[in-house]
Amino acid sequence: MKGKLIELTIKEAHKLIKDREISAVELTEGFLARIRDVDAKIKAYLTVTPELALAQAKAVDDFVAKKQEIGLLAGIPGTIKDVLMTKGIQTTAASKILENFNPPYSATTVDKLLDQRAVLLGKTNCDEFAMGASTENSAYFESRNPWDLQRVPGGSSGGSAAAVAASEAMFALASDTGGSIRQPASFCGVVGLKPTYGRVSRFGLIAMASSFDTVGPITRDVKDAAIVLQEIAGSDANDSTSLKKDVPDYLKALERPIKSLKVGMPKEYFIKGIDPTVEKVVREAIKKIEGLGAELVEVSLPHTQYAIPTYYILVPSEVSSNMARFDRIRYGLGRDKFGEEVKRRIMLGTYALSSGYFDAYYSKAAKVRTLIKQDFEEVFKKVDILVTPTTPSTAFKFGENINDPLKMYLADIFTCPVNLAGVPAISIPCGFADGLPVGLQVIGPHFDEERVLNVAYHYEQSTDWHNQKPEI
Amino acid sequence: MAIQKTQVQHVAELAQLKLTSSELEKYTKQLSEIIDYDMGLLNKIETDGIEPTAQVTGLEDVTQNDNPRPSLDQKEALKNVPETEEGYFKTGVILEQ
Repeated sequence: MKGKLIELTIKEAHKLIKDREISAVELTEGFLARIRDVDAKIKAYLTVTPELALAQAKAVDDFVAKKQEIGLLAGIPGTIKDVLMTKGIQTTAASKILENFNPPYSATTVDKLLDQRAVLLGKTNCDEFAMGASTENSAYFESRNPWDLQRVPGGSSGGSAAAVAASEAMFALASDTGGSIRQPASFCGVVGLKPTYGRVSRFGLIAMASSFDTVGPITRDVKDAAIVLQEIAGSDANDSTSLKKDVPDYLKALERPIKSLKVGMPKEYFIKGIDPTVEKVVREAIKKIEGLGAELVEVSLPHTQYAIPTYYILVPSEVSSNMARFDRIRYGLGRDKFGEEVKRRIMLGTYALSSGYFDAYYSKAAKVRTLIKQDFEEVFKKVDILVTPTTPSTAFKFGENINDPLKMYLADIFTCPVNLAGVPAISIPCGFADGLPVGLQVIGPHFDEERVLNVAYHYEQSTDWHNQKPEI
Repeated sequence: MAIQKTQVQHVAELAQLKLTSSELEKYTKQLSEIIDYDMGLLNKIETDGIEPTAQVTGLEDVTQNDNPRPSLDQKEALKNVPETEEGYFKTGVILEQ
């Protein structure tokens, strides 16, 4: 049993802690030992906080000993992507410009986890300010894919996905602006959920592109993703873009029947250029969903091919504005500390917003964004849910794309339309291509995380992919 | 529609970034490639009469009651500041005498 502690899901571990069959301290020690054993290879963590984690775990055990009720996340060890602020714990956004930054407050989502008595193991690596698809843009080091150490874990939340895949954390809290949760989850064979824009507070998330950024979980299975979403969802007075909308019971939604549900397959996501082995695995997964009683419908999102160019005008524009806060007055070091990709996006955005070009570039892209959003609104009048590959290929090798920014940007081709429209989506493991994990993306209408989780859960429960573990 | 080096230099100055000559060279090439790719596709679509989307939820004018509540204390707020003077942020001179 003990050796397997780190392989438990949140739901399983919760029951054992509640019934006092294991202690939260034991569980936390298990993860800290695992980090000591494998993180030299995986390099998922930028900061590990063992003393804090053990103190938090002990507090949970004391609580349980007094027979007090605990929530599902109490004593559960997780990690936080280093773009989310953690009070008193160094937060770098994987940038040298924040090398010495010690946040005076925590992100709302982090506070919510701590209120639930979750245990914080540390902060995980990512591309600098979440700009990238491989962690190769981290100013500190690259994280490695637990399934093949020669390959990237994806990005930007590569450290978080690698940590969950390598059993170095039971869950991770991360951010997704164009695929930064789903793409690394897909590459590492774990579950990654990007909620609807406005469902989860962005307060304390170091901003990249404010009209795209979302905060969500990376977990081992769909139920765990529902558990974490349940705790972080809801409006926040500190984030005026979060919506005052009731938070439904996500765990309850999992079990809903999916028979005769209309599942759309957008033809633009099965195009030339997608790795044929990935396509085969994804098509088999979709057939499986059909086998569960859902009705498969071919649909069209006609503006899909314009998503990448729209994204790479609008996001750099918002980036250039957000990065202006790094002026060496309130926090951070000088702007000479920005890495290559950050500088590239600041300049792209500054150019697209500059006098004489604003209408031709920014306004044009903002109008196309409307068309892309309308594609989704139209299609969800016909179907309940969409299923697509998460990425056109499996994890690539280090160095393969890093010198060609355009090629790297195309890694987001199936994930970034979702952020342009603001809808929710999940990536779940759906098989392997040449020994590397493949992800299935399930996309739902605005604020229908319930349906997204529901379909993902039924598929997951009919397969064994989520139980596969890499040998490290 | 290649972007000129002088334009990249100008943009870098607007964004307060100092570029080396090799960076200027590289970014000029890359910015041209990316903008050409992006706009080459986007300019194929007719967008007359389409409203631009700046945010997706349609929320407008979010207000809240103006109730005082505790804020960060001065020490906390200043703890990451590179230079302070008498409890204030210290900035560069912006108006020469």
